[in-house]
Amino acid sequence: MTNTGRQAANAANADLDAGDDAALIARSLHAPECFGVLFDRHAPAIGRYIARRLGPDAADDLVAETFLAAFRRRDHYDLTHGDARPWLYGIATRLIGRHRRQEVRFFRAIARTGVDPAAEAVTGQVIDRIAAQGARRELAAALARLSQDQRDVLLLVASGLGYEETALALAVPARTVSSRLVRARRKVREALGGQDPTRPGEDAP
Amino acid sequence: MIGEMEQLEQLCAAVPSPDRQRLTAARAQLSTAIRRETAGHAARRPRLAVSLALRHRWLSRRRLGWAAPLAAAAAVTGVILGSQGVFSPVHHPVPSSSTHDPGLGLAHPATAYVAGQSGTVTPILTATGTALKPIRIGKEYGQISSAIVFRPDGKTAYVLSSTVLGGGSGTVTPIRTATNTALKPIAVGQDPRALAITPDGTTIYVTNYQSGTVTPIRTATNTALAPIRVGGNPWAIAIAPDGKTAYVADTQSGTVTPIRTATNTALTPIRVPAGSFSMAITPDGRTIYVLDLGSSQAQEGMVIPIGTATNTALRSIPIGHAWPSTMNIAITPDSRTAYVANASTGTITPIRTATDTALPRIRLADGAGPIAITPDGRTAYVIAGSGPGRTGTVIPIRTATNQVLRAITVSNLPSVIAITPAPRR
Repeated sequence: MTNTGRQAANAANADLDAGDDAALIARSLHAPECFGVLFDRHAPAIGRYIARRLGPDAADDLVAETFLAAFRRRDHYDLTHGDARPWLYGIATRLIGRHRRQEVRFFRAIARTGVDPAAEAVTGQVIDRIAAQGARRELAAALARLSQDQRDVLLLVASGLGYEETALALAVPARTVSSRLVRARRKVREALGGQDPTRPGEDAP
Repeated sequence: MIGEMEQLEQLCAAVPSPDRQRLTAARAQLSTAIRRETAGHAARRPRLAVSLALRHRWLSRRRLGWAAPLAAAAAVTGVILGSQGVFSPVHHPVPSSSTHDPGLGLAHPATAYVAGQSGTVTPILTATGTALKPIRIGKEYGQISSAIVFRPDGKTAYVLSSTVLGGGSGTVTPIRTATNTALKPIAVGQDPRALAITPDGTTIYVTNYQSGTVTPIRTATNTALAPIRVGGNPWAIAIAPDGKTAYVADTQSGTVTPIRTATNTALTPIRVPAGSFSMAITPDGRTIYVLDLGSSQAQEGMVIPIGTATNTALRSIPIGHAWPSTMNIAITPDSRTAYVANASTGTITPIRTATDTALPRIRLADGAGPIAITPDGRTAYVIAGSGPGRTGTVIPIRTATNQVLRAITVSNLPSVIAITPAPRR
């Protein structure tokens, strides 16, 4: 091997969209501008996740903070993971954790008013379905009552991360994710009226 | 009625993607940070997960982190850590008349401590390669541990860590090695990067990158003393073998600040031509070698010798283009030869320390990363292919002839190499 660094720098502007996140991050070690591509790839999803938990205004700041922290710590990224989403969601989750009270207030407000600032821009079918069931307020109330750990697991999984990815994001074993998820789901289920859809008839007298 | 998980998924799905305008501000902030780093380049030297600071300790100072409790013949010659805390023992390939005892177990099993991002430190028994229960050293999952030192008696390990978000204040957590339990963390400065312990084990010095200070820790009481102001953004630290002076290199301006350990006072900084992330001191204490990557491709990487007798920088030794990759150094136990690995060119430059002259470069086919030398000084081991997407190999070099021996394949992405010490007799 010769001149890896130089090659990396020269290749920085070529075929950036090719390759997985790990390749991009590896390249950004020598050619920092490559990291911008990672933002373009993942910022919208990370923004939605943060907005879901803290509201759209707080999300603006935290998206920036998430990617700045990721950029500063990119040399710690485990390059054996091709997909950077768990890492980015993990950083966002830790930042959200610093605003624990604000998140609880946010969900309580939704529970109280039935108005969801994170979703207000959308008047689509999805919202109507939830609203129609009158479940949104109970759901928000239940989320406000969960522990931070349980909320982390529940909302990461609900945002589309798998168990393994959630485990990576939170830096806990997958079995911890499973057990937290079970407890969190049970709490939410009870808050929604105790019906367990996987075990019909459980609540029957 | 639909299940709670589906309802939650709908609740999440109901959030619209942030519009372009909202993201523009965040993107601009990132771009500013990127520009600053590209312009300054000094910013960071690339690292892989666990390891750089470990490497600083384990390689440049050669008081091997986990080695202290050992007093036995070393069966394991090298220990390689992958970027995920993957651990490969490597056995000595040159049995011949070696005093090593390959293949036999250790009389006292050594323990390697592997620290990463998850706020835990994992002890590994080197004899069997078994990982023990991780020791939690931080409340936050995102605690990054970047360096470990041991007291010479091996009874306590000190793990340096800061939060994953960076910039936060750091801590040093003592770990009692007999029981693998963490003691109360000791607060140090902002964004700590490296630590070193005096040969007598009484004091640890921690460089605080953001604070521009060095925090001494008294190991008898595990308390931090008043920080010593050195200015700039200090990173690399080396302590003279006599323990009287600690040297701290600034990453930005070209200074190396000596600290008198008896009084914990900073002495007049030594001017060197460039900022540095790495340095080593010869076992005889005469010379410090500061590694300078060069600040662009137009400049060569340099090794800057500092004579400790006069505290002045001597003539720099060019080792070829190094920017923007990494350089590593290891010095033979007899202090006669320093081996400087240049990852950019994939070469090793041996330097004769008596005259500070470069000998012919050794070209490696697969790159040249971290380097370590056996206690008998006969063999240098270089991690090759430590870059992304490469398989891990370790290249032995016979120091007598500077001849490259057959490569050893190890686990993926190795990033740290350390060698068990010579038996104490």
